[in-house]
Amino acid sequence: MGMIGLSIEILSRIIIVNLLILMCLAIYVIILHKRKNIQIRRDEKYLKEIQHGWYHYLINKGERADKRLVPENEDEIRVIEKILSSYLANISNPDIHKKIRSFSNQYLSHYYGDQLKRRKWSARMNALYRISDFQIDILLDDCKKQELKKCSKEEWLQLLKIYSKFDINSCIEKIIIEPVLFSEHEYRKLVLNFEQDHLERLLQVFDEVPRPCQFSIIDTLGLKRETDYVPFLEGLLHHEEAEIRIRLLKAIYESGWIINPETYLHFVHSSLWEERLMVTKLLGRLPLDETFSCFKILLEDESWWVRNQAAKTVGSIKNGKEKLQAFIQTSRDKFAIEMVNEILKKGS
Amino acid sequence: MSIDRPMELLSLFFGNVIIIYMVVVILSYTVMLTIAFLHIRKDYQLDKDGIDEGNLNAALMKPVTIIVPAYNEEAGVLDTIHSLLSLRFPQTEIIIVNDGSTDDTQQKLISEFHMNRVEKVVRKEIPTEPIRHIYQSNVNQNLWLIEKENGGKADALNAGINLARYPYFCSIDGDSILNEKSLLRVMNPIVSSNDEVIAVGGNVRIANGHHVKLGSVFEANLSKNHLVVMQVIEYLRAFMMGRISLSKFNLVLIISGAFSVFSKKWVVEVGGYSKHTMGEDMELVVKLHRLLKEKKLKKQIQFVPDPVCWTEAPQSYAVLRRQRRRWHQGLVESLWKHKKMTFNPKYGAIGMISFPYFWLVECLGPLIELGGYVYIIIAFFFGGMYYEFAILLTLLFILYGAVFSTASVLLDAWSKDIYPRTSDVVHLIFMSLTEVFWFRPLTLLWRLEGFFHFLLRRKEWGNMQRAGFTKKGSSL
Amino acid sequence: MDKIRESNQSGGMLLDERQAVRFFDVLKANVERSKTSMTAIFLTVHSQTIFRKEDEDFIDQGITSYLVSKIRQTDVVVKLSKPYQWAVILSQSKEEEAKAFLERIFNDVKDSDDRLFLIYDLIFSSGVAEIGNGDVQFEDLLDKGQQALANSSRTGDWVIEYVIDYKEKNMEEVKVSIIEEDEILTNILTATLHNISSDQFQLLIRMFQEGEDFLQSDWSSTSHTHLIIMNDILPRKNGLEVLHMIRKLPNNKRFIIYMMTKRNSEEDIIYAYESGVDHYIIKPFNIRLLEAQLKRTLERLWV
Repeated sequence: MGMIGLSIEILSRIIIVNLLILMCLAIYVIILHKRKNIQIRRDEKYLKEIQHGWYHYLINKGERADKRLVPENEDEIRVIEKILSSYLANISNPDIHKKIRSFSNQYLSHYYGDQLKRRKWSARMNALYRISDFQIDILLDDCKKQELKKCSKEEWLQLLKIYSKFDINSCIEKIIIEPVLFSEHEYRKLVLNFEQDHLERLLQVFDEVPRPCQFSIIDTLGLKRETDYVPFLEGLLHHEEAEIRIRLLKAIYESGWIINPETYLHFVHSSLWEERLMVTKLLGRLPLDETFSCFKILLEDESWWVRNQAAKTVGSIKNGKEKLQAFIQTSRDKFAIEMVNEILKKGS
Repeated sequence: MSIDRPMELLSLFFGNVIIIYMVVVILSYTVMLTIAFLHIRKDYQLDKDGIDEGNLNAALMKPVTIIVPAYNEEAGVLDTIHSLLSLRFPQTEIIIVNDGSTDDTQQKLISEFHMNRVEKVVRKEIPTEPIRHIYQSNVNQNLWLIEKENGGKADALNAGINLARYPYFCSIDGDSILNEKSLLRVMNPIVSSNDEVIAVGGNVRIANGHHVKLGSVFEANLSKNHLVVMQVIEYLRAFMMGRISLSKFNLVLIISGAFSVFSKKWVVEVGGYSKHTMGEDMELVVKLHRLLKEKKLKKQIQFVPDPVCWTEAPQSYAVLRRQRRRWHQGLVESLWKHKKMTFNPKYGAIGMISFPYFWLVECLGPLIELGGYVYIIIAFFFGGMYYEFAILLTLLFILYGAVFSTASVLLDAWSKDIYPRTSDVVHLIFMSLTEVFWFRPLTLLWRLEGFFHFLLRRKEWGNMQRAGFTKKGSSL
Repeated sequence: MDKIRESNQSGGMLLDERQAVRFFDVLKANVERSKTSMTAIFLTVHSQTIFRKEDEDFIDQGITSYLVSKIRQTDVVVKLSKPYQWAVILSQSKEEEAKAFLERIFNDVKDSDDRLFLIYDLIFSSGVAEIGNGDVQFEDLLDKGQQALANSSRTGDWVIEYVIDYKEKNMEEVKVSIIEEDEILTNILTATLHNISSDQFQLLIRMFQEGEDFLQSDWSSTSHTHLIIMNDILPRKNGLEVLHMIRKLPNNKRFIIYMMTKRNSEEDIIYAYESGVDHYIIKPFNIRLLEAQLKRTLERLWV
């Protein structure tokens, strides 16, 4: 019984202490909430006051930043971040971007430099985002110092992004030595924003970069839709890694350019359905007279996806429908005929 | 002491069981709350717009098919679709599945979005009830409507999966509303993990009291209805005290059907949603976990607290009771169906931690806790040492109920500012202190009812779904 | 004299002052609608020789016929009630055309061997009033014209006096709606639109944050030319829905729609054009190019 009495006593104390702590926290949260509401109103007011000044400076030919635009405290910086981010997201004029860059280097770099030194991860992350968005190259060395600290994966990615803008050599060097394992998606975030000549530098070390990075490079080249990169992609088509080959076919298809059609024909007989699927799409970019013999094979492919794609591709080319009609007459493959009929029905 | 010895021992034993249970639960909740706090603190004040901007790029995001199963949803479905059309996302298609509604759902959709009937071949990867017609919108070419025969929510979702063009699909209840960036954020774990994450559940919050028009929440106010306020607290608690920390260790067994994204490939592989259970969303997650473990794959199922889906909560005792009963029945069904995973090392942490935890806390919890309430009442009458026992238990309940609820509410109010009015926050904090005295026993009772339903109707699964699905997903 | 009479058939219309008041209103309305000016020329004659009473009819008639023979079919000669005074209204003409017309007539008269001009040695004075808007009343115009004539004859012979009071065009009002959630961008666009100035139109700019707000407002229901700059994604009825609604309106031809987007997807862009977008702008865009584009779009409305 004594034990229960003791437990009750301990427990009551725990609860009272807990409730007291919660009460303090509640008051703290409520004050925070109130302050935030006031702050929101203040920010709105400041935004209204200052946005015309910013318009004048950035878009009209305002040469020098008005003294009033320079932020005096953290609240004002927050509003300016909002304004500049909106400009960067919506307006592309290079002269405007240049002005943002010079303003940020001059008036905001000090603040972000301090933020980088903070222990709070989210504060450092926010600073890294801004440094790369506003192009504050003055802080490049401060960023490099970050590497020496215990650096999270997210921070590393942001650092590489910053290097890719201000110091491409370090960026490529870091990609090769891989300080942390990035996913393909992360590499893609990085590579997608590479400038043209930086991208070419990266292509030179293609074999040395990690596999996920290779994938992202191939995809990025496809998205560029430029003929310049197609020889590079075609040159890799005999890569031993199937995933690489599939990505290459996809990228070449996306780019819309085919330079050496004969390079692709053997994929019609590939043992991987993904390769056959991609080559089916790709052949659609060539004149039908040259490719129809391949399509006949693909229309009778064992994979639903390949048959479907083949029928769709042929159906979408000029004169394709007639060819498909003729094909139904001669083919004996039940699945192929079914698929072609379906596509023909859909189009009408 | 006027009671004879065996009786005394028995009641002591029960009291001890309950106390031990409470202590275990309180300890595990403390751990989970701490984890949740650390997680939230890391992201505190992080500007997520940077990540969002990147993900808005079509080259960095995967296209998603949004499936909206609708059975007699004429009241809310237009709002839902409007909110889906206004999502910030690079590439989506929206498939509404009219599961043989008997009200005006179909007509409303057709006239609001100028739908036209189209011929379309659907690949039946998962068998479903027959599809009658398919419609496409004139306003937006990526908006589709499937009209099919009634087959229940799971069947409707499966039909949507069959029509889906994209590698991921998102299921949204026909009366829920997404924030404009919710889909973007719920997809973030999937794309940034490079498809290692195959399913993600978002945070479901209660929209009652909010001003909603054409799919946009433009004023978040706390409802005046006490029952709704309690549910707001309960949802918060469930997320803070469960999902966040379970997700960290890939232990999530439930992601809400009201708002979740799945990789289509894997869902098709486990045969889609199961038609013959009450809680098709939990069942799917358990099936996925099971498949992953059986195939020894390192894929993950996650919960993310940030992307929000707003949903309408029941406002009356009757509806709430039915909902809770059904949820609990669904939960027990799934646990029972996959009972062999329990304490089975083959299923790793899911088998060793999640399952036992769900059995003990989620499934049997109501029984034990209610026992505790009853024990307290009886013990007060007997006085003496029972009296002390009762006080001890009461204190544990208060610690367990009030303290954790309040902490959840505070944590949420600190990290996000959902409610613009400070008075709403104060109201929430106050109400969270009262939960343990009235709302908690009520829900326990209803859940227990669900448990009994499971015991009684276990063998008649087959004819349970005919009526179609009612309001909500099967769980929080 | 006979020669003048004959050519009467091929010339323009002749009205008296009372008839002219009515007819002037028709012409005026046309000025307003077509945004093209017309010009009223006031003429009087005087001479070194003193006119006798019986000369008055002869001169009035003679010059009336002469003027009628000189104008286009779309123009009008008005014999004013005061003696020796005429008004010629040249439709779709500005000051320059009026000046050219007068110079032609002056030279013609100076060189003429017609009895009328030879006998009396007539000298013309004139006033020119370009009319660019529909607000002017005929009576006021007449007053101003006669004042100008008085000034002109005081200044010297063969002088043209210009009346500029009615030249100013009424500006066309063009409605502009910016439907975009980002307040900062909305303000950038508004400020940019204010930069586009022209004497032809005046922009009435309104901002909306949501599609439904715009559709619900009566703002979109008037017959003004209406320029819309909107984002493709908007809360509460997104861009495509707004577009669909607008293109179904009976006055939909009055809408010029610019749609802004973040998604650079070929498929989406084609679909938007098919649904009736006039210009598709991908964010981020060059604001100066947009300004030039908008300016050109607006100016083309009056070519």
